[in-house]
Amino acid sequence: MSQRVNPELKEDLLKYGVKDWNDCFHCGTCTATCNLTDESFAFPRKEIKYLQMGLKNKVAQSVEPWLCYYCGDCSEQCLREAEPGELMMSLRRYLMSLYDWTGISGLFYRNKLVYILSFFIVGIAIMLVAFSTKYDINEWKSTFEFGHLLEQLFVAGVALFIILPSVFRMYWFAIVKDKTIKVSFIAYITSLWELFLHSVTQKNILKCSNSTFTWFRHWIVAVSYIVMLVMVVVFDWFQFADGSGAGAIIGQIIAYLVFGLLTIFSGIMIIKRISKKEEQYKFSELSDWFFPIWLFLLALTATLSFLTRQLGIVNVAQLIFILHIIIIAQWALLIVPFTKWAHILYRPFGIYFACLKKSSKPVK
Amino acid sequence: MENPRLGVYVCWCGTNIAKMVDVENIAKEIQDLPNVVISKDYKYMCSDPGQDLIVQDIKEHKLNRVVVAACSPRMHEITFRKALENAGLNPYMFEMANIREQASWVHTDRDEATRKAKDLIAAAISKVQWHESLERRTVEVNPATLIIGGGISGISAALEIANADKQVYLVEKSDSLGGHVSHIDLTYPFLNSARQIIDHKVKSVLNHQKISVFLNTEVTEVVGYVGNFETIIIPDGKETELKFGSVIVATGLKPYDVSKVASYGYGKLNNVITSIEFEKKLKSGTILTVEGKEPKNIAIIHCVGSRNEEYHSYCSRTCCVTALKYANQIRSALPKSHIYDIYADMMSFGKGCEELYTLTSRKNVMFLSFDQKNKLPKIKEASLGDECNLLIEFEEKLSGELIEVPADMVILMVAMEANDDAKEIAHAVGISMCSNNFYIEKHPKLDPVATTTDGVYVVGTCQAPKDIPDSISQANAAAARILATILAGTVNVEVTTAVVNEDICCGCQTCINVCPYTAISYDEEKNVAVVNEILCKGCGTCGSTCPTGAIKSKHFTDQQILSQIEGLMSLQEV
Repeated sequence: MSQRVNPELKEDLLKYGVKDWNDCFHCGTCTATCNLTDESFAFPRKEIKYLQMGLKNKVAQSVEPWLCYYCGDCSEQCLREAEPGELMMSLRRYLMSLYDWTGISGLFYRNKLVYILSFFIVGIAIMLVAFSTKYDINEWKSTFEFGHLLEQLFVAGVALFIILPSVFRMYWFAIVKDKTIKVSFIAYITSLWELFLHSVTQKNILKCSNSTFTWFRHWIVAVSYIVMLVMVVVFDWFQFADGSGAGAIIGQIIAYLVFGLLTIFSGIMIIKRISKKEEQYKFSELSDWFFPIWLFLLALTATLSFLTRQLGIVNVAQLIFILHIIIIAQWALLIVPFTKWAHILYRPFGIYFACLKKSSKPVK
Repeated sequence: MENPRLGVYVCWCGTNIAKMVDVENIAKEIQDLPNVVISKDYKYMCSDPGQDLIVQDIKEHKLNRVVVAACSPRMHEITFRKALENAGLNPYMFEMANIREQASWVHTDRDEATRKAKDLIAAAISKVQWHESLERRTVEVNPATLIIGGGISGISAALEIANADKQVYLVEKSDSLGGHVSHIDLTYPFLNSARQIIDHKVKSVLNHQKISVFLNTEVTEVVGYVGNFETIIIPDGKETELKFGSVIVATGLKPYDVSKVASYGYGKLNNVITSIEFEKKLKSGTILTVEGKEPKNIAIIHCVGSRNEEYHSYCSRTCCVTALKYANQIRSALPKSHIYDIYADMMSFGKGCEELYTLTSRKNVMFLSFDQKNKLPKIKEASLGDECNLLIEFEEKLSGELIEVPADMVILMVAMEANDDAKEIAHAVGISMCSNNFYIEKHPKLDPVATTTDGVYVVGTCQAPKDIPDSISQANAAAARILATILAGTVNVEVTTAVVNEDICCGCQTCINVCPYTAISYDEEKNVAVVNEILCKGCGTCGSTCPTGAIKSKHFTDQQILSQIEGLMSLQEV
């Protein structure tokens, strides 16, 4: 079946930060220069062609954007300055909006005002909740307990209602709707290893040129983030600030290590975006700013709150903690499900689905 | 006859000859042949130092014959003849052995190529011993010029020559001047009005005192030779005789009949139109479908009849950039429309043209590539639900996807091909055509305006598809060449003509019938054939036909040819 071209898809995609890809005349330098492409996944050039033709289905079916780590080599080498790297970035944004069943993701990407307003709304809502609950505001410990409960609610709710359906929808678009392939049951099992390996190591970044530090930075941020998530949400780690036994001291060291690393490395991410020196930080959409800044604030408020609580300045600790909860709420309700955060799942799943596509028999 | 003293020079032609022929060894071995005084090999004999080598050796070693073994005499015989002249020798004491086209380029075995080259040189050495001095002859040049074709090329050449105060006869087959350019709306790449270019020129031509324009007139036969041509034309039924010294052929070309490309359905599907028809719409100022509606989707298909063995294998040169021009004009006229540019390869070379491509690509034009060799797009009528008139289906080459393009109007970028009467014109003026019926220039690089017939020039699109600036450049170049000839006042003509030995001629007139240049007449009084040396091109047909051996071709006498054959066989290994 032939697919109808659609010149109007462009208008839609421009809102996701896509540069005018019409500059591309398909010399293929971008694909040739990329270390992550192979015969089965020739990006970015082919993705650009799908966009130029407005083949929405082909774009939705593609996992290529998740295979790209945006080292920027393609944009640097592009003869026509068509910014293929940034185009892949925009495609990731677009795909996220497709995967999100609520449509909120697309709304946030397309409409910056709504995105900013929702941060205010969430912030104010948390403040209102924090100051008008049965928990006694004068009893600082109850604030921490209440906050911990909220965190768990956010994480469970978002994971259940947004993240899981999104990953399923990604599977639906990439594998089920791709009528050119037929995946065997065995492939689903054998490829699981890749899913695990890349989730844990993100080692594909190392294939990009001069990427050792980039990979290290990314890996540290990812690992610290996951550890912090487990510490704070599952175990209520702030308790360790109060104790003085050997167990508490180990808990404190881990807390400072994790919070500190996350603060420093998310700080570096912000500085790199400000300096714009590297190809991948040249263009920043609003969502690209919010992600490292909120991560930084998250880690910073966690560190400060932990520190002040340990030092016994409980009133300050309580206030900082309320701030921390506000930031967590914005992070968990706005950034995690609808914008940049979700790449933490889509990337390994992208690689997993790519393995499935590769191992599948082509259907005529 | 003086004792022959030969100088033989074997050219490497860079690696062209040297890589397949052992030039150094040949030069050594040739040294031993009788009468060879000196034998050398050199990288580029045609270069200035190469020629100097000959001049010096002639003086130093008192050479009186020279053989150069190099490329085709068509390429450099004149160059070396001049070298001989510079050294004070008669230029006809020279013979060239073609060991490039006839040996190194056509062989794959080095030993065999070397042996053949040696044989060819031996033949030349043998022949040149019998060469005789021939004297140059010159004829006066008629300062008038005949230009066939009143398109942009013919008009430009005409003005160039006439502005130098020389008479021009401009003969145009149709009823108006201006050719294809007068049907164009805007020119690429700068989107200037074509009318501004052509109207002014046509007016100047019509008002020029030195240009006589003959409309609705055709040239059927031109007789004569460089400097002194004649023809009879019949404008308005009146027979008119014209005399002129030079001819410019500027007959142009014609659009291809695109109905031959079946998959596009031209002539059967409404709203599938040619680029010529679209140009008319642009000129009239309204782009409307057959139904009188503004088209929402407009597709432009490139290479219709070009670059495909089934139609024409060559590129028609102007269509790609014209298509880009259309995309720009459509974008201006219908800002909301969807434009699809369906191309095989984007050939937008030339000043300002690649820039136009870049500019167009930023104007929201969807560029789609197809396989011109094996999978042409197919146009079909759309159904009611498609919300368009036509659907174009093809495999998009850069993605490999089978796609469908909606269109309300499809513009076919028509190929250009030689005129139907190209052959007749070629016969009339005595020039040759390539396999595509375009006229062949004297040399594709060194002499792209002259032809192998002295005094006849080809300009514009009758030589090959080209755009306006290239046509005008070629026209002006031809005009400059002609003005130079006129300024010189005389021109050298062929001296290697046929001569009749009246004592032997029996007056059978066989030669008169075979002469392709009508250069031989019959003298009834003496009962002999008489050669008009000015018309004679020295082709030798008469000499080989003459039953009594009365006709001798200068520079190709029986003696010379027989000894050439002898030389060719002399080195054969037994």
